[in-house]
Amino acid sequence: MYLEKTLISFDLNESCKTKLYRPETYKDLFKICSESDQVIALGGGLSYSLAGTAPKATINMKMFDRILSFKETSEGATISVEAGITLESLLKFSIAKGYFLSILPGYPLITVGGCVAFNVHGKCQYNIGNFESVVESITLFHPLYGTKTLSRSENSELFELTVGGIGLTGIILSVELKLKKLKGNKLKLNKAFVKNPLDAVEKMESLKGKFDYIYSWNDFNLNGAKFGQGYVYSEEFINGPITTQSPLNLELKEINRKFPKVLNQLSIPIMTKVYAQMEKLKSTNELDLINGLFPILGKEIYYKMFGKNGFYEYQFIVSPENFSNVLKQIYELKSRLNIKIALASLKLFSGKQTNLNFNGTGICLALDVAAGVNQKRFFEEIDQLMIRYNGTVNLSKDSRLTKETVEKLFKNYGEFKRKILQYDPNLKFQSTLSKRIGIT
Amino acid sequence: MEAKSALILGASTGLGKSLAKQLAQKGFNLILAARNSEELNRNATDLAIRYNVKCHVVQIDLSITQDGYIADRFSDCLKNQLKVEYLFLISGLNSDFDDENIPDSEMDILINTNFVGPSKILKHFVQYVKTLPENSQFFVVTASTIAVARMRGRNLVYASSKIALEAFVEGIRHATANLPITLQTYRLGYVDTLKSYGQKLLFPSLDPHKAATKIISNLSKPQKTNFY
Repeated sequence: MYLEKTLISFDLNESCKTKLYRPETYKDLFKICSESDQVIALGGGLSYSLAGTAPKATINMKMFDRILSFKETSEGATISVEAGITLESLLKFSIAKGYFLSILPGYPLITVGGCVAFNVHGKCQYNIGNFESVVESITLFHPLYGTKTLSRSENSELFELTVGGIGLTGIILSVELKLKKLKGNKLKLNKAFVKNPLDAVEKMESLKGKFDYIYSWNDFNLNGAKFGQGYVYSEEFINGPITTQSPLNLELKEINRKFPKVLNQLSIPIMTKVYAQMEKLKSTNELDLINGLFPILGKEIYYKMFGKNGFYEYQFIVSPENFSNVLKQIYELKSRLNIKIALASLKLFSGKQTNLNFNGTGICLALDVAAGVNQKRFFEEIDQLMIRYNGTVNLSKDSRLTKETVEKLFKNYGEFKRKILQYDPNLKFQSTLSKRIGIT
Repeated sequence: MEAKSALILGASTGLGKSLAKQLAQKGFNLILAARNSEELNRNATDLAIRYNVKCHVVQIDLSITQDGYIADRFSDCLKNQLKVEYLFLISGLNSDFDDENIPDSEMDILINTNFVGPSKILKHFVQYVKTLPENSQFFVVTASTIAVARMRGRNLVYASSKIALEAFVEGIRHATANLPITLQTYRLGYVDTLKSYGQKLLFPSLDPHKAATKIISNLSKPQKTNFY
């Protein structure tokens, strides 16, 4: 049986009516895959695009959340888990054992399957790369090929196509992951005031190698010399005993449009100003592990405050040489179009861009704006900047990019499309995202 | 202190799986029984790793009526590994063809799975209780259905089998009045399982997790039929 349901992207800007299945056994899961023309697996459903939804059949993987093996090794531990397990569930177990997953995306209800499909990144990408760095092997199911084990030494091409393959190679059944030994379950949060984004990048570069996590918050609503002033945060583990973590209050289980719109042209600059003042007054503090690993935790209301129209996020990487030019043009664009930016945050990146992965070497900037006509235009203009400056855009954070733009943005677009078609000539696995960007 | 042990029939999915998880969280060692041994093995592995409890798997097909089959399935666990104090007969099977036109073979499967098999297991464990040391306690929880309250044309054999099971449990209650057995029967309705998922139901479906919590919290209550 299935549920007829309209699923909505996390930014509330993409929707799809689907037949939502929720199998509980592998037998039922395989049957649904075999009998549907087009199907896709759904993880936490927290992607900003509808990567886990297909009009014909969407398979909710939440029932496949088991731990299949756990082994302590000389370097840490390995854990094999089913793809539907949430990071919260995994960490609850591993932290009690003294281990954690060193690469984590923004929210604990994201599933391990979703992390693999988007090859997500955390707050230390420059240091340890994307999620693939912690993946040892994957068990994948496709009705044409059955169940296969993928790793760097076994079915390696399919492994590479699946990590960051946005779910198009089949159903990820389980993933073997490397866990890192915890030094303690508290993090020390340091912050440094920065005059502008370039100053922030310089500061972050100087902190590289000294801290476990580095990122920034910048106020892009300020003008002139103050544009982008803010704070660079660096976090480091504090040695100490591993104590039980307090239960999490997770609010992002359901995406809804019921909250009134609070964030608008008027209130956004006030919010960023208030935030900056609060940060100025706050002293250096200690964070418990979970809040340190997931900075959004407890601040979920921020997303709800965009109201029923939602928001747009843009996250890109550009080379250090191009960053200054891109920044100047973003400043001009936001001034010309009168855009208020609810969030601007920088990270450092180091890696090689493959498939349609969000990876590369350079500076990563994330921008949030309330959804609107001008804001959409603003992001479309940034699309053109990214094309001009060879930037990379995060598809998991975007619900508006077109096939034409994605084709120009990703030099591997054609190759990825060809590989998917070669592997799966009937394109059994398709999503709203893969259709929108023309891969299927 | 030795950990308590429970046997759950129907532990691969739904309410049985939720019961297994919550009992493991409370430190119970478990015998998980169902037809689908692959899912059972994965459930057992997960619970053993997460909660550091012993989990044994018994693959059992209740449609098999062969003499001695039930005793044979559980003999190893009971002989060597665990002293069972809690028995949860949660399994159930229904069919899309369960009306007045149901084929004989399908009817046999439903009767055996919903009535004959669980009854034989209960009978087997009554004998087992007789072998337990003095002061032992044994708890039995049986899952029936609200469909037994008023028979309809749909789920005809399923509901009839559950009525028979309820009657059998009542008979056992009488027969074992001098034994330390507590028997509880739940008439469950619209449990949120794969079968009911997506269906338009008269009432909201019952979350297996919540049902499991309620069943476990009721274990200390005196024996009676419970409605849920």
